[in-house]
Amino acid sequence: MKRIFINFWIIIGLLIVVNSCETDDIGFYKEGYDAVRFPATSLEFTEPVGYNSESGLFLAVCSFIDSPFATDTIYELPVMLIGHTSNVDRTISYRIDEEKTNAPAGSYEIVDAVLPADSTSGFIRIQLLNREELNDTTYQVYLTLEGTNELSRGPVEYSSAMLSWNNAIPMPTNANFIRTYNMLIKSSLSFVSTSTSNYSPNALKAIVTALGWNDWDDINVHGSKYNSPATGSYKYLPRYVWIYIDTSYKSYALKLADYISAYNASHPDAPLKHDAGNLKGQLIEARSY
Amino acid sequence: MKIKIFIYSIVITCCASLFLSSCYDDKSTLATNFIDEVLIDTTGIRQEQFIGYQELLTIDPAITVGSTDGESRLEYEWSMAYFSKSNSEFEVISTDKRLSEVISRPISSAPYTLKLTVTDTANDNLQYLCLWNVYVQSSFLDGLLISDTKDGTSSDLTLVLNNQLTVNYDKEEKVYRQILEKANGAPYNKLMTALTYEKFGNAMIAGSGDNQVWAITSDGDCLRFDTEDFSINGTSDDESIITYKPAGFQFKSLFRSYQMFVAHTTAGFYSFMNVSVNTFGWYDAAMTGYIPDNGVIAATSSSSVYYNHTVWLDQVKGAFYSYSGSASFGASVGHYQSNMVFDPNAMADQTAVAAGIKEDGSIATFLLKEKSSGSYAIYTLGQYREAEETAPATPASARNKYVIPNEGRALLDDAVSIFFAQRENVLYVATENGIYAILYGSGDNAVVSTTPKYSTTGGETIVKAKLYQQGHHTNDNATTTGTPPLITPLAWNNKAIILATQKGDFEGKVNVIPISQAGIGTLDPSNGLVYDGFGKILDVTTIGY
Repeated sequence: MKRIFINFWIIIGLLIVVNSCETDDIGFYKEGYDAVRFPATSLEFTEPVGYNSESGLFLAVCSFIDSPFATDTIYELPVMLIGHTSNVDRTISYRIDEEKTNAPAGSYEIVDAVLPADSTSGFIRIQLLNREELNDTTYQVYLTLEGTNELSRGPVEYSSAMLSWNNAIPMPTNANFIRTYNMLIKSSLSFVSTSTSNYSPNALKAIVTALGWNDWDDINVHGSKYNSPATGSYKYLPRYVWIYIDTSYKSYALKLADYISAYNASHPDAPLKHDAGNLKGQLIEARSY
Repeated sequence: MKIKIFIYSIVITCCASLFLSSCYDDKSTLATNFIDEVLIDTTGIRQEQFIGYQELLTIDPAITVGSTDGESRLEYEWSMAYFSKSNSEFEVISTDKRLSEVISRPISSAPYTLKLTVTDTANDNLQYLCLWNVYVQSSFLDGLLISDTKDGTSSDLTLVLNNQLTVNYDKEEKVYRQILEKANGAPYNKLMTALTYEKFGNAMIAGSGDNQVWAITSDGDCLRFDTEDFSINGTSDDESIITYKPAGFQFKSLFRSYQMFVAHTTAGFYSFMNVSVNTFGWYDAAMTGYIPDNGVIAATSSSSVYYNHTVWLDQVKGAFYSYSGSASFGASVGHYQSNMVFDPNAMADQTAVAAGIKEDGSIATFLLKEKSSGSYAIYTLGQYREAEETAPATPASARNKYVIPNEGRALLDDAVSIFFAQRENVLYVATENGIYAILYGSGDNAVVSTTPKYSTTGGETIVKAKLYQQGHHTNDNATTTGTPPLITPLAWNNKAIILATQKGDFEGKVNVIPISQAGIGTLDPSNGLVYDGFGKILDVTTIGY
């Protein structure tokens, strides 16, 4: 009996040993996992700025304000690789959201969309035409990445982008600047909102004109407060923290209110109005504190 | 048997090893060649050397070998290094026995290391080392800053460095005159009538931040200087000092209070937390509607006094009020409870003349003049204290009143400056011809000393007088009163007075007179400092570094 008992346990032990020797295949990354997404500084600090977490869009802007006589420009919408680089160029697939896009056919053309060989970032190259209507119109095109055999689509929250262009001051795309805009322009949004839903180029133009803000990318003028390349070197608004920390946003809103009041008084037939966003057609008002 | 042999072998091997090692030749038992030791005597040379940028640094230690100077066999090397993560190399700056070199290293709050290496070439290049910490500073350190005008329309600054007025200063006195004209080719084109030192940054971190002087001009504008080179780094003409300036806006006074820098203006109070902000971005909403009578305000600069740090008699409300907290992180304005002595909320017949406050903010003191009778009295107010384990909370309330007798009234009516001592119960009164002391603190009446503590001579008249407090004390007195203090308190801090006198319209003189008996306000002019050569003196203040 004792021998049987011992043999039983020996057999059990051998079975365990034999089973435990089974080899599992090591998982390898496959090229088929490679994907693309739009940049998001919330994921990687060094990526191009523009991701807006409230809208889930990568916001890109282009303006002909600094080159009014150019007939067109090529804008490269950045795209980031998730996965390994390849030794050949790969095509990025996308679709235009026709429902949201207001740019008419012929006002732009997508030249190519490529993830170059040996690169972790690619681009969707778009030719934008400088047309007369851009003086008072902002065109927008919405794009969403799609998957192909070569490149899958990345996380859905980083797969859409909106490119807008006009002849006006470029729209702020960084949350730091959007918040500054909302601190100064009256709307139903919180004064610290980072939403662009009420943004209008005319209101930004009023801010820039009233406050003389067109050099926030200049370190010699603004010292440590300047907008570095890491923030997109945006010229027209300071990061919100600089006007929040000393409560000067209240003073700037007051200065803006003075400007709007004076402008409207001298232009009674054409007062300053929002030309885009949820407040389109309404009078531009500065916040009051 | 084999084991036994093995053990024997081990024992024999150990013994042999011990035997061999014991044969080591111990040379210490042989005759020794004594060499004359090189002695570097640094007596009287401070371990911490403070030098102005591009100033001459001289260090002359006594170096001897035995009874000689060893000149023929010694080599000297002075080298300097700034130790940081990326740099720790010594750079040779002199090979002379006596160091006398102009130091052109960048200004730094951290010290450079200065090394003297003396090499004895007669003894196998035996080396002897001495080390010092060298602080390279701006040439403009802390000291006395004077604004004066030579023509009645423009003004300039003069800085005095003296070991009584400048922290860690053991060199010859230096007086930098007409700083702005020498830097810019012309003095400032307005009259700078009120100077206030302020440090932009955390006062409790020594060597950090920017030392600044704010100047209010006779027309109510304001400008700001970086004291490192006295360059203008802000004016009220743009947004560098105030973001929005209402029409007719003028600055009246500037002062430090708790962790704020405060401006009293024609549009009310503005304030900001000067640890991180350098601009008046918006008015101080907590103070809206309050007007300090005659602009008289008692404020402690201590960054650790949260409650009742700023006190005033309100011109509109006829009552005492105090400010707690800060506009940025929650502010409140409160009143004082009355007691049997007086009602702080029924002061409509009083007008404020002077005010003072203890360093810890515990007692605010006001000299008030009764409008109807013209009589003077000193009122003290106790501040709110939070409950502690051994004591309940104490409300802000009235404390004492000391009536000033008629002889004091005559002095006060003729006064050009009136100020309280911060630590003692002494009120100083400066008339055109002398300084007087009024003592208070016991009984119901103040005691007036009609014998001047100081009298002018030679036709001079006093135009301004104030208590001497070193710059850092005025910016944040927690830096000079801590245990241990962050900034070395100067011997004269709170123990001297500053006096500006004029002989003619443009013949001014500044005196700093030590107080020899602080409790009764006795002055010691014989040990004071006197600086002449000024035009019309507009203001005198102290700055920190």
